[in-house]
Amino acid sequence: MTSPVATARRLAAAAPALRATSDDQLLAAWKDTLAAFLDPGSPERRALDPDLLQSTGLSPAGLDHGLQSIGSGMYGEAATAELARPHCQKEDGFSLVVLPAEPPGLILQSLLPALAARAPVLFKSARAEPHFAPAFLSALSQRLPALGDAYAVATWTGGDPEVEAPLHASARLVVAYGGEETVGALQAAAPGRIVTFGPKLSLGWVGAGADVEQAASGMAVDIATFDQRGCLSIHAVFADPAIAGVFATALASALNELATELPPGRTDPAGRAGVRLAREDADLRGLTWYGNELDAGTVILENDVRISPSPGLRTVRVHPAADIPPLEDWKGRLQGLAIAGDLPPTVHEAFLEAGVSRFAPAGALQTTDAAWRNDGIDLAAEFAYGSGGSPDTVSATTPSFTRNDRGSVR
Amino acid sequence: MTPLLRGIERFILGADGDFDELAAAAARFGYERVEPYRRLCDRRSITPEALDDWRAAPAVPTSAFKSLRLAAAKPREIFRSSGTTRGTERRSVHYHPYPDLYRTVIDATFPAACLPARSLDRGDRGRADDGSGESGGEVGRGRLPILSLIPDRAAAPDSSLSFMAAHVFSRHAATSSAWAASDSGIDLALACRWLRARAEGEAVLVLSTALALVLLLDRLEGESGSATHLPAGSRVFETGGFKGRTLETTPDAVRRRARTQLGLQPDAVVREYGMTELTSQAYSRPGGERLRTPPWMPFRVLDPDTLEEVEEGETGLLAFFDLANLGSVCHVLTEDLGVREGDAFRLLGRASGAELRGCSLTAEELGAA
Repeated sequence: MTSPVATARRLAAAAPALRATSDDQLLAAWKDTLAAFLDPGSPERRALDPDLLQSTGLSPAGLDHGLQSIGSGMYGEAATAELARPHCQKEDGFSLVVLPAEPPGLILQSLLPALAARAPVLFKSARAEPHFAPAFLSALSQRLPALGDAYAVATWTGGDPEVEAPLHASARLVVAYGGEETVGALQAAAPGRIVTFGPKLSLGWVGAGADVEQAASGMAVDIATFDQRGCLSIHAVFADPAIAGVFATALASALNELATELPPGRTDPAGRAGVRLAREDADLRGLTWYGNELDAGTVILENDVRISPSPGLRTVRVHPAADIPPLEDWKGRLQGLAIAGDLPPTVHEAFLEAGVSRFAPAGALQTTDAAWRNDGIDLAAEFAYGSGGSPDTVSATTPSFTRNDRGSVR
Repeated sequence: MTPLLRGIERFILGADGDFDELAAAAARFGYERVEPYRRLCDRRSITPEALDDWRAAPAVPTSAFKSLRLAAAKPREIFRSSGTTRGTERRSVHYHPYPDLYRTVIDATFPAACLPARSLDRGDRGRADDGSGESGGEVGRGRLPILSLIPDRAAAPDSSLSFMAAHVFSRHAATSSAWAASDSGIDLALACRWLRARAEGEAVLVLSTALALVLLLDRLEGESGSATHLPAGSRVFETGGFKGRTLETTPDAVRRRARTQLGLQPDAVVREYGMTELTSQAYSRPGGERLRTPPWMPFRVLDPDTLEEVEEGETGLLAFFDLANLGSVCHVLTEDLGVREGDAFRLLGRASGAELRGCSLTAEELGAA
């Protein structure tokens, strides 16, 4: 078996051939591969799904819905536009992308920008979900064999210095998704050449004038997608005090109905215990809460405006709030905001200030497309100039606070 | 002192009493005096009469200590949980009106669980004489050299663990004992010097969180590269987890490492399980993994779906009925998952959404000085 270091050397040498690949070739291979992975009846998915269901614990409907959410926006014009962007890696070399264990399919969000930048990448799959990335890359290289030399995936025990030290030393850029421990360790190992996407959560906003039923059904989808395990999963909703109670009732009902359409996946004692404790806590505090089965959704009408992370299993707190909620403690740990009704500009600005990088209508929060810049970071530009290009070579969409003095890194 | 409080103290001291009767009385005491608890019972149609069986008393989730004032009397000590490194989450607050009861609990459990046998042989029993939390000034019967990597009360006045460590010092520490943690950090240099100076002589006791122990072992390894052998019979009291810290190790590995690096016998490390929200503690047998509660704090393992007790061997939420928690609420539902094994339990992890916590953050926040 080839070592990750040897694989990385091979990838680095493939940069010239990758640069010679046309947009049209890339786009055709990308679209054809993605279409196969979005079709649960395709040979690729039929081969992959049993392993993916086992590793993710999602229900079959939940897995399919999740993959559609993450992939469908990368199929159309947005993908064409992304691949046509001007950022291009001029030198040889490879980048390292450390993928998270969940949600599945997240490789798509870094692979497309890497293709656009003609940047060879070694992906590290999480041991807990080692199936999607190799299957997708294999299918992609079957359609365009040159990509097989430039993109590879490997799995190893995180933190193994024998494997990681030479990779960190030679990678042009390290992109890391994952928990705080993973991200923290990588920041220490590859200082100055790393882009990190740490753990985050998302919120909902139900302002004045919202259609309560529509808001509830939309946010139920945003909560239930990936069984509330992604960074775009809603953990708490701020609702206009005049409609918060009605909204909470409607949301509970919507989650209950959705449990049939998108059945919850596998649960463990820790998850079930977390929900039970949240319900018991609400009981003791005299709060109103709604919920049946522990894994089918719990809605707590919260009287404390401060955000608390959800224990998962589609548990969400609804906070009555007409104005800017306290976000200071969560700065840098908020990902998205699902919106229904009026969102005052001052509130919008506050969420932006807190680091929210995605604003979407209720029901569409988790359906991202290729144009979304996670955390405001332009990955195509980062891949292209990751070895230390001057600041002006980095896309203006990448916020300055993500760069160090070499301009292109975080 | 109320008759109930006196009865509980006598039970803890092993004099007399019936646990079920005391527990029923304690549950009713909480119903009468702790308003949020009474409201919960009323909403669930649980009458004071139903509390004759303590198991019928609702178990209060530890998270409630973060948002509600659960006090049955005017507090004389206020303990706060340490929280995590981010410091964004609410902290548990235990309003404690009966610190003497806390001291009684420590006296009734700590020596037998943690002190080297030789100290016990020398008759180290009895009540604290001053309760000041200060180290004893004279080497007395049963006193031994103690090194604490837990901050003293001056550095952590609202830490229940520091309260406990201070009381242990007042009761059992010889003059050669040392506090190696303060508000400026863990003084690892001092700790290493202290340990090396005691390679010969009488058995010692080290009080530590798991995280502080790792920091100490790292430092010892870095300084000498070889083991520092402590005298035979020495013990390590270890409590808490790693609380959000990235450590490529496990509690079990840390204990093994401690035994190797400090030249300890297999039974030298005693695990303690305690929390801000409880007054009593569970201990492992020396060198063991499974935790045992004292007779006044029975535990149950509850099914998250039903809150009914699960069969032995099944995983569930740990709940404790701690008579010594009379001043707040006795029946506490923790965020810890565990499994019953006979008369003991084994910890298996934490419920989702529970903050990483325990007793090691103080050391973590302080870091190595």
